[in-house]
Amino acid sequence: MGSAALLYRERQADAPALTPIWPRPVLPAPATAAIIERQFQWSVQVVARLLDLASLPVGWDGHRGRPVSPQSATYALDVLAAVMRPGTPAPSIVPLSGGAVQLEWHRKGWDIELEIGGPGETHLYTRELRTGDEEHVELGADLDRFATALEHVRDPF
Amino acid sequence: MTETPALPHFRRAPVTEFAISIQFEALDKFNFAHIGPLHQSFASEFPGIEFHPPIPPMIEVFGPVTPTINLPFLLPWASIGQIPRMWMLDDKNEKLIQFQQDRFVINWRKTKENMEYPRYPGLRDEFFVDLEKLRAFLSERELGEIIPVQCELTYVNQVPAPEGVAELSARAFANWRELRPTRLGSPEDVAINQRFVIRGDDGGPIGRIYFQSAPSAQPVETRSVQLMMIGRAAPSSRSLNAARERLDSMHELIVLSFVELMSKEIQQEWEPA
Repeated sequence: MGSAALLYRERQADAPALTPIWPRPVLPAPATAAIIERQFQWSVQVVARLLDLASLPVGWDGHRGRPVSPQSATYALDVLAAVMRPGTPAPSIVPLSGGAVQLEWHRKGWDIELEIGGPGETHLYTRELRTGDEEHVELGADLDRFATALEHVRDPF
Repeated sequence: MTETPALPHFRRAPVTEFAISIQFEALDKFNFAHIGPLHQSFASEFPGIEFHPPIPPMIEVFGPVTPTINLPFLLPWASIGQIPRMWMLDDKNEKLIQFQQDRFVINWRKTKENMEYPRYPGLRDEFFVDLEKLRAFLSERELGEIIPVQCELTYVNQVPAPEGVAELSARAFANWRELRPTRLGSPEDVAINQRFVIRGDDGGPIGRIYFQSAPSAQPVETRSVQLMMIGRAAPSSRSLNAARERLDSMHELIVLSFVELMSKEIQQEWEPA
């Protein structure tokens, strides 16, 4: 039954984004649209950068470096979507040789780095420059510590 | 196969589609050259083959922001050199195996009116037999290990709504509060989305269960409500045994919460066993 199979594929693809719930959503009012645009401005830069990094040639680092994997790129976007608040600047995004990716913020007296090896594989590093205090944390699905760290580099919105 | 005795089940459950899936670390060494030989491993049971774009990874994450836009869909997956998703279909078109570099799915579909859907334990056992076949194939060719990162169950139900979508929703959901009648009459359509966090033994979030109810795209005379339930969570460790345990526990959660969410009246129509 082709339609059911099609349904499965499409619904699976839609599954994590259960909003907007209506197939034909009402367009947001201009003021709302402006807020959404500001809120997701970072995503334009991030998506463009991830696409560049996913297109790197094998050996881009002069060794056997691989392009950023689609899995790491997708997970990076999922992670950012769950922690980026209005006023959080877009991260610098650095490729790592094995197809992994690192998100970095260096501002307001803090270094914050999140290494993403693949889905669910994240390592958080933070350092406060004034005190030299450092922290290394393996994160699971719960990103609260990462979100708390990002508050240090966020601008008022 | 029978359901675990402690769990309720229905003789006439309105399930039209049921899928068990795991996502795993990408098998980078699997390439186009392996597609034919892999199909040969499954061809006796699943002779048909089709190709579709890969499904992007879907991993549940938990932060302070609830995303309203599914950002990973901004990545044009099909254009970045992905191996396609294989569909391997049985000769009745009832079951299919889906495989892509980071996901394995078994999918049952109702193709005839009186078909009874394969209960979870039966389909789960088939899933792991077929997964073992895949594991052996990968191992023989040194293509890597299956390291699960996310487990997923999907149930799709079609509930006939001859009385109207709003009326059916009011009758079917135990937690529904009837909309007060207005001069507009009854709503033409109603969609309900509920999302619940699954917590691990330490209380931390590990996954989610989605209940999604929406009108089916069907003519008015055969209108129905599509009720979809999806459970998605990380296994407690990256082993196939842990993935099996997570699937089992999610199945239990889905069944028990389904019984709580649906009204007694509609459950009677499905003939509780």
